[in-house]
Amino acid sequence: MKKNLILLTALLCWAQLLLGQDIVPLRGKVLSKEDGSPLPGALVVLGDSKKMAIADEEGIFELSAPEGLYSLKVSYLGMLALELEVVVPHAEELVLLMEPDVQSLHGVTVMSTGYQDLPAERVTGSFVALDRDLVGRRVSTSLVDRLEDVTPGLILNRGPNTGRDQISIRGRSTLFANTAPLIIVDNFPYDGPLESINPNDIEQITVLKDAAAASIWGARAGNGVIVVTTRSGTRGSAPRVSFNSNVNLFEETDPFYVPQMNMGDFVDIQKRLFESNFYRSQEISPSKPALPQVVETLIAERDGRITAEESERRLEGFKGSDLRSELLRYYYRPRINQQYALQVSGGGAANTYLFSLGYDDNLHEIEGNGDSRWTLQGKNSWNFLDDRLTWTAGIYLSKSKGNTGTQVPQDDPYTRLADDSGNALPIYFTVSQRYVESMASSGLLDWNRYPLEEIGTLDIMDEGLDARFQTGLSFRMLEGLQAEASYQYWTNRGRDRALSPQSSFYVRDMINRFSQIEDGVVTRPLPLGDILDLAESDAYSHTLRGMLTYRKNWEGKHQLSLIAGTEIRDLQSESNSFRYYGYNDQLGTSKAVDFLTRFPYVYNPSLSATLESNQSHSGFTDRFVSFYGNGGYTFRNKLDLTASIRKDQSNFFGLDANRRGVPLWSVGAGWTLSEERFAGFLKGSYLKWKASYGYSGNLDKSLSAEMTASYFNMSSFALLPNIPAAHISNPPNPNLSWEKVAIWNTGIDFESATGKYRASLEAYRKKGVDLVGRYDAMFSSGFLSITSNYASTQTSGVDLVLGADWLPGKLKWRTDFFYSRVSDEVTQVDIDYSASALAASVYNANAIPVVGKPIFSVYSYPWAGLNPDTGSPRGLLDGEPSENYSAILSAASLENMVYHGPARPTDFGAMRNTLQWRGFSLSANVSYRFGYYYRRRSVNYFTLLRGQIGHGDYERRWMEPGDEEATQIPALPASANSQQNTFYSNSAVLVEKGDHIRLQDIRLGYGMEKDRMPWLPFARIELYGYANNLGILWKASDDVLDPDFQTSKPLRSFAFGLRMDF
Amino acid sequence: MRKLIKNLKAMGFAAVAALTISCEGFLDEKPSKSILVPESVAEFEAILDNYDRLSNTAPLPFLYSDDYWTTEPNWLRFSPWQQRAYAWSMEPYLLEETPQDYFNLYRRIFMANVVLEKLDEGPDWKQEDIDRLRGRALFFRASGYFELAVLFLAHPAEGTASAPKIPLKSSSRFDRVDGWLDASQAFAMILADLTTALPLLPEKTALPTQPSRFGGYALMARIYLYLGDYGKAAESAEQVLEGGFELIDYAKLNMDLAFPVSGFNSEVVLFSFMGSQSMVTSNNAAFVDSLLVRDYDATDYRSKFLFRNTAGFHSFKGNYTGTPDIFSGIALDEVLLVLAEANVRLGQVDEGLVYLDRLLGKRIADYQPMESMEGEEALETVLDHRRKSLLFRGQRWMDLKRFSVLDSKRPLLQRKINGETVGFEAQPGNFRVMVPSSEIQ
Repeated sequence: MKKNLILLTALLCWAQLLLGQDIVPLRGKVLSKEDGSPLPGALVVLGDSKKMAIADEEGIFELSAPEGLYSLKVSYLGMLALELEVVVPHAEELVLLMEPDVQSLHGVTVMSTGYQDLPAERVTGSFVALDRDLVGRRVSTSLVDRLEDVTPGLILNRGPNTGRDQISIRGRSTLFANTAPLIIVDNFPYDGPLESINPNDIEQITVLKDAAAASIWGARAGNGVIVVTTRSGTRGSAPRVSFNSNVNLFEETDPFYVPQMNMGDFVDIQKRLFESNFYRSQEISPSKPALPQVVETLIAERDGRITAEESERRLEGFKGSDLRSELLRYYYRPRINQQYALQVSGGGAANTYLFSLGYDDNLHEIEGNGDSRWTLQGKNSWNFLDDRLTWTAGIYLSKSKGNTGTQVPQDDPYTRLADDSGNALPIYFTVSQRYVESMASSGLLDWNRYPLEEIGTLDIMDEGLDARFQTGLSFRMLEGLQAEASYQYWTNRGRDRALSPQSSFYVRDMINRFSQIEDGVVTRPLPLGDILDLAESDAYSHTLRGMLTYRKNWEGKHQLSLIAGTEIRDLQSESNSFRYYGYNDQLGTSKAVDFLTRFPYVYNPSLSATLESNQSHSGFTDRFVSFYGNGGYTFRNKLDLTASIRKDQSNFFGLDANRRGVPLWSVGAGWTLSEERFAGFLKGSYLKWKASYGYSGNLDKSLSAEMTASYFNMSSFALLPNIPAAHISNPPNPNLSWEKVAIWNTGIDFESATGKYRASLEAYRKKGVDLVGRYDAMFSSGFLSITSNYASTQTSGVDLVLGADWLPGKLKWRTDFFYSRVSDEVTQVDIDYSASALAASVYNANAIPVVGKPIFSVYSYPWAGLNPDTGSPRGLLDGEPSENYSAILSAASLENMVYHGPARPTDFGAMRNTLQWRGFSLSANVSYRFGYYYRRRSVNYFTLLRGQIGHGDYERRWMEPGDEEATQIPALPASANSQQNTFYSNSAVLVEKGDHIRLQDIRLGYGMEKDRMPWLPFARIELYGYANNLGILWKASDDVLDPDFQTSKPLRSFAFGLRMDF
Repeated sequence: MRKLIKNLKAMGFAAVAALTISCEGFLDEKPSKSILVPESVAEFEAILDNYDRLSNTAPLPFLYSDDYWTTEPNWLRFSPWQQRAYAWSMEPYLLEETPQDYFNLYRRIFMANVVLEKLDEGPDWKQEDIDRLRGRALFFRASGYFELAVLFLAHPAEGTASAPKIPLKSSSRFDRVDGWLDASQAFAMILADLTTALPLLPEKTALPTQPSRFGGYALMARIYLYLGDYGKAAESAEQVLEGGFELIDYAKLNMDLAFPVSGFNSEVVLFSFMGSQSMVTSNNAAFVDSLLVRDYDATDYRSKFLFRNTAGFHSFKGNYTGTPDIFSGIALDEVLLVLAEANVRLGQVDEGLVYLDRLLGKRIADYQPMESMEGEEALETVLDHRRKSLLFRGQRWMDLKRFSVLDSKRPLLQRKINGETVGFEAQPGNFRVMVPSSEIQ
């Protein structure tokens, strides 16, 4: 009882403190009249009392003043100032609706860091905000595509070795560690696949590019941060229903895109190889490998099984067929993507809600394959205690399903898949046709492979369920002081199921391989029936965040905003796979098999193996504990100072506890010159200068400072199968630490008084230190390569955005222009790359850190033309033309190799023109990339002389003296010479400039609104068409192929869609 | 207000403190299931059980040997380094190729060093575990340096003038070479490691891939034979005879099988293998010289056991691995041959021939023991049977080098490539593979 009394007293004291005695609070809310959205940062001034307040993220402000009548002034950039009289105390909450100032429409953008929303004019860092319209302009199923050409400094990497390195923001700031930007969805780091996010649910994307913007995300922000905010309802609005649907049609895959040599020439080469006994060892090999059909034909002729005429007839047939045409006929089809999204949103006086449902259905370019995705989202918020307490809760589900059972067959390039009357023809894969025919009556299963009969019969499904639950509480404890707690649970379950029926070649082949024939009786260790492969993965994460924010405003002169918080994160995943033999899908039964005994192969008893169990297990744990803080100070609405700090600790493997954490920080300053009195000539326009400096980090979880070992079971083929063993995956490396990126950024933002012209220019310099790299180790270390901190890089660049509304009238014309320049160079490398390592690295498109050169560079061997007598390629050896390829290769060094330039664009961007007239809008986007080089493909005589078809350049090769005037393509050598081939494929003659300009896309839309057309049954409807990948307008090189697409054609696509608001 | 801030501060500190305390265990979780920092006996044992890495011997000694030849179309299918090795290039690897022999052997040494370093920390393990692991690790380190020495260094009897050297790695540090060894330094270290290892190795091992004490003695015998220390070679080989290994009676084998013997059979003393080198070792490309095949007597079961007819050529099937992988370990037959040769060379001709009789009794039909003969003739006989028994065992290159240095037998080996004849003069100085150029900085 006594205890309760004390508590009560304490509570009363608290209330006393809050209420004051003669001063009465005034609460209100500033909203946009247009859409009811809150206007955070709006300045509210109470009469002459000089009492001021700044509206918070909800648009809510609070003032306190003695009772009386006051005039209240509200101002907000881009809105008409509001002035009204109020009586204090005021019974209810004031709702102040502001109208947009048509004269000055600038500066209403809100930037989200994932921790807070900032009005654009308060930021000191480098942010790019993409609103709903910009995100929705493109038609695509993925989010990543929508960032291209609208985000200065961001580029989608194309070309070799870019699969794991899709996006670069302001160049590459790491060498070999994780290269992906951090993705934040609704304020939490997103762990799932990006494909699970439906672009239709996105309200805004903010890209954080410099330290001031990103360092609040700490050790994972080194590659930039992409903050995705999904849509939510707005308070006080009636239910709004909107619907979006589109169909996107793609061009058919073009297997003829990369030129290929003439089939007749190729058949002749295989014939020549046969005649020189090249295939003899394979023909007599006890493994009975499948041989090319030309070779089988010639063997049959040699052995007298067919006549010379028949052989000739068949060879002519091969010369006239082409597997690519067969693929086009039987396998490829135009890809069709369909997308539907429905959304309902709204809000009451104290709550908001939003529900959305999305469905995507994609028919792939290969017959029989496709995928689909359902997404469901619900997001609510409720306010209590006079808006002091806000509770938000959201759920996001995504269920995807894909079928990729049909694989495009690979075989001899002249293979026919069907005969003239359309019957499926067999091909031979594991064992030769001769062997299959000789075993026809042995009791084995049919060993022919009929690719056409398998289209759509393999049931290979992958299913995924991705779910996020978020909830948060925020409580305003005091004026300006707010406490927040938020929590996210994320889970992703994946299930791959591959059912290969016994009728499929894969299963028949496996069963046959292990069959034993004794006295004409076939026994089968691998039982008849289907094979079922299952793989399951399960991942989840918990993230809990606690945060305090404090905002204070001293009479319009000083504004202070502080954030401090802590976050704890635990991500775990586990996956398992297993296989069942003799499976019967109808009965749901399978058969037990012997995984321990080695069984000899029926076609070659000297080979034996145990049955594959396909069992694997893996699990990962990713844990973080982080502390962060951020402060902003604004003086008289024109001078901004910001600072942030974050410390991350993780279970980063092996680092001892004191090395686990790394503090990363940033500082920034901004100066709104247009607010200064001396800059009167800028009146009405907006001009701001900003600068920032700080660090963000990057890490590679696969690394460890301590020695680590991987544990596994010996394979089924091993001499002593299935025993447990280990290998050392990381040598001990006590000096390992996290990568750090120091970033300088400065920029100016300008908008003319009428909003007609907009410009922003930013310049930056990034210094990557302690970069982790994989470099060639001394072989005597027991490792081929070592991953360690070993290099530093410097990247500098410029991002320029220009925008203009040329015609503001009925016909509107707007231009948006983006230009980015990125140049990077390696400033220090601990390891001296030996000439040999450099030469070796020419063979692939990997990063080669060389001091003073870009991370990705193109080097080549100098080219001295073809030998006029023989047509052999010549390089330079001691300055003289030479055909001594092994000497050229071993003498290669940084000094004598040709450095062409960067392998990635240094200057790139886009220009978008938009025309609007009545309801029509037409926009076209032209993008460009300059300043880089690539290596063209050409003939590979080494593989050609081993019987593989080669490049179309073969037709233009040197054939007789004099040809060297017209061609640079070497003559066909008498025998395969791998060094000659290595030299030629990496010689200067094959390096091309990548510069080009392309017409990326065109969008045409027609919208109708009820306001203008009262007869419409909906509030708004838009019909649109969108065409993508329209083609190259100009390129520097004569190469027939697109510089960025050397292996397959970028497919054009045409989309049609409609968007309705009810 | 001030009070409030003070309270908040206190709360903040409390929260931070609570989190920091609870982090200790939270952040100690290992990030992946299959990757871990080895701590226990079993975890270190698993490293030494990785026979695929530790017992996988260098391919070059076979590639350089005259145990096989191939046709030109087959040679065209070799990878570039194999083609160069076939032509006896002592720098066979191209820049972009991994020098497999050198790299694999140093990886073996690294793995051994990792275990030895752990044992030096004095872990709290049972003494028998410590001994066993130390014995095995020293054994693998010695075997690694021995293979390196045969390939890359001069024979110690050649003297140290301008002798080539190989890196010494005595720790697991990847960024440091601990010195450079010439042949005599290398062998001093190899013998020291092996001598220490012998008493620590168990007589019986849990897996047939693990080295036993007898395996250690067998390796010791092989090393001393190479060095020409016949007394110690015989002494070590005699120890192996205590191990209860039994010769296979070739008369009782089914020669029609793809591989007439299975791996891990009763003759195998020490297991190791040379992984198949695609074309080079495949039985449709690696053929045995028909003159050598013809040299076997009709009563000799070995020719039926070792060779098979592949499209008119003789290919090899007598692998003691029971698979296409070449057996490079030590079997009882090699041990008996060491005893025979060492005794004959030491002048104990009759004792030597008894060992040979013991072997040939299980190899030749109706075998009659050797009649007494002169030392020179006896040595020729023993070496002839060494050649006929140890084909495709990866030992021929070592023998050629030994005979060249110690016996001054210096034949000219020849092969036909691209219509040209390529030769190798078995001069002592020619048996030295170059250390990869990237290693010398």
